[in-house]
Amino acid sequence: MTLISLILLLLPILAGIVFVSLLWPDRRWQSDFALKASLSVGIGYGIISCVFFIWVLSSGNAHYSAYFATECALVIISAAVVVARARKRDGRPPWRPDAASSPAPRTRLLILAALLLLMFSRIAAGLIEAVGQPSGDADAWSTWNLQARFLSRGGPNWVDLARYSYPHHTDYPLMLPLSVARGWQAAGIETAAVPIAIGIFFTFGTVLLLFWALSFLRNQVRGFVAGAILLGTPFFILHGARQLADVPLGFFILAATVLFCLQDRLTTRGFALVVMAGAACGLAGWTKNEGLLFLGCMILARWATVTLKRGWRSWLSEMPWFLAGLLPVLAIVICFKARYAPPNDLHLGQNLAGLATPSRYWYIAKEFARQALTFGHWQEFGPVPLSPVPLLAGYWLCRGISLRHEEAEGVATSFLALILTLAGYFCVYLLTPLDLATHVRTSCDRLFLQLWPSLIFICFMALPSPVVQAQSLKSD
Amino acid sequence: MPQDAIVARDKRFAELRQALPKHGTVGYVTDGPLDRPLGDGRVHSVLMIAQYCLAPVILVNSTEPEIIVGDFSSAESGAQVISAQHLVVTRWFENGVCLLRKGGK
Repeated sequence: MTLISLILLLLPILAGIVFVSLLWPDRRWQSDFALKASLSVGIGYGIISCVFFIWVLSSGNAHYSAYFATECALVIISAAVVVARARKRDGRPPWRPDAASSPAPRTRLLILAALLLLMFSRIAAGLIEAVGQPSGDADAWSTWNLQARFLSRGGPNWVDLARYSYPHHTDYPLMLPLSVARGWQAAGIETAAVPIAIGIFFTFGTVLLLFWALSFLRNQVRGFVAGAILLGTPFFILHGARQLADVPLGFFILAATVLFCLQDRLTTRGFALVVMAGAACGLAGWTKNEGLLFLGCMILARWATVTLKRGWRSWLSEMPWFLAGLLPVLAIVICFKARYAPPNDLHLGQNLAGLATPSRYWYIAKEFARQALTFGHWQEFGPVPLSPVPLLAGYWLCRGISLRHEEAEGVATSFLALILTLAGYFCVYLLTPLDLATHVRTSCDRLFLQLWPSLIFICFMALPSPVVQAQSLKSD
Repeated sequence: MPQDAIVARDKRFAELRQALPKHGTVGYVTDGPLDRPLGDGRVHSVLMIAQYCLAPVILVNSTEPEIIVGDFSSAESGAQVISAQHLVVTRWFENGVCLLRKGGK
């Protein structure tokens, strides 16, 4: 792989930084840089996959040199706009100051160093896994990388992928296959290094986003503990290294969740973060069909929380901004689904009788409960499963939640969206035309994986700090 | 460390892929069950792997199309299937992989 290919592989991340900076409320380019950069990893890859799709449609999937030249030019022009805007304004940070005490600079450095050390050890573990199985998990090569091969090798005949019907899921959206196909074209060779690198970007981008978002909204100690839990989840690292789309989907779900919580922190009346949240939800739908379910749940959850707290008018004033971010991506998803994708196999063969079968409800509920208690494959660390889910739930039940009034809306929106998404997964299982036990056994843990980073984020947003609680008890 | 079965199959089909049309549908025939354990010790669908290796042509588990891909564990066991199904070998590649067409044409 040449230096130019490497630059082209990293270009989506730069495009993401530019896009996020253009919409960031604080226009100084260096402000909140770590948080913006961690959002950029996935958002950049998502946006570039949309641009690449438009190119594939308009050019007949050819003339890649012209495409990469155009892509570079677009990113450079947009970067120049970001720099020019940053010079015009030097306003104060538009965020509410955080009441929580922040660790001393030296402690902050130590925390960051500890996180990086932990991250490098987990990257090494991920790489060992990826090198041992360069084609990735069966779902990775039989769905995502297969679609990528149609796009990369097929020229104008890439559309034939819709005719391929064995086994299923050829209707799955193309964010990941397009990213891999684009990477192969940039590298000039169909190498496993491209999907492995993209998997690693999304895996560790999710960890960094979780860490920096909690460091920004709470403090670095919480960010570190949350990041360490995610990094320590064997199932998460394993699936990132095996090139599955559940990790990128988890990134977009987390990004939307974080952006709504950041929106609540704004002192200025602006909706740029809501635009980005809309784009993140759209990109979730462009990554996997489950992302479309999440998108619907997020809209419903936001409507419920904003309407309850501030009334209809507030929701109506916010919604156009959300749609401004969502609709361009959704238009691409709809274009693919309507023109190129075969019908979804689960939707076609819906088993409506499943709704009237109590044993199916009981079976799915039992499996969900089992998953909640054991999720993460923590048994890798010892004979006793050490899932943090029961520990966090127990802590939450004992100590209650601790949220500032203005933050309640974002956290409630995100929590409700996750609950609704889980309910949606439940209904999909109820209606599945496949054998229920097999379907649950082969997919339930991955559905939980999609929500896992956001669940950790919400938990650490809402958990009371032991230090603050001890101080308040002392003052009482 | 077990060998990645998909990488091994990719190498196995590499030469045959060059001989296939750029797109279209081709048939597929093999000498055992579609789902079977491969080099990495896990059970895989050999048709699905062949599809991954030979994309963007579409593989169908049938001997009806004009061009048929033969994917056999050895040339000897392949010869039995070829004769039983009245197929004609167009070209043999290495490792039990061949291109076939229907007999009598």
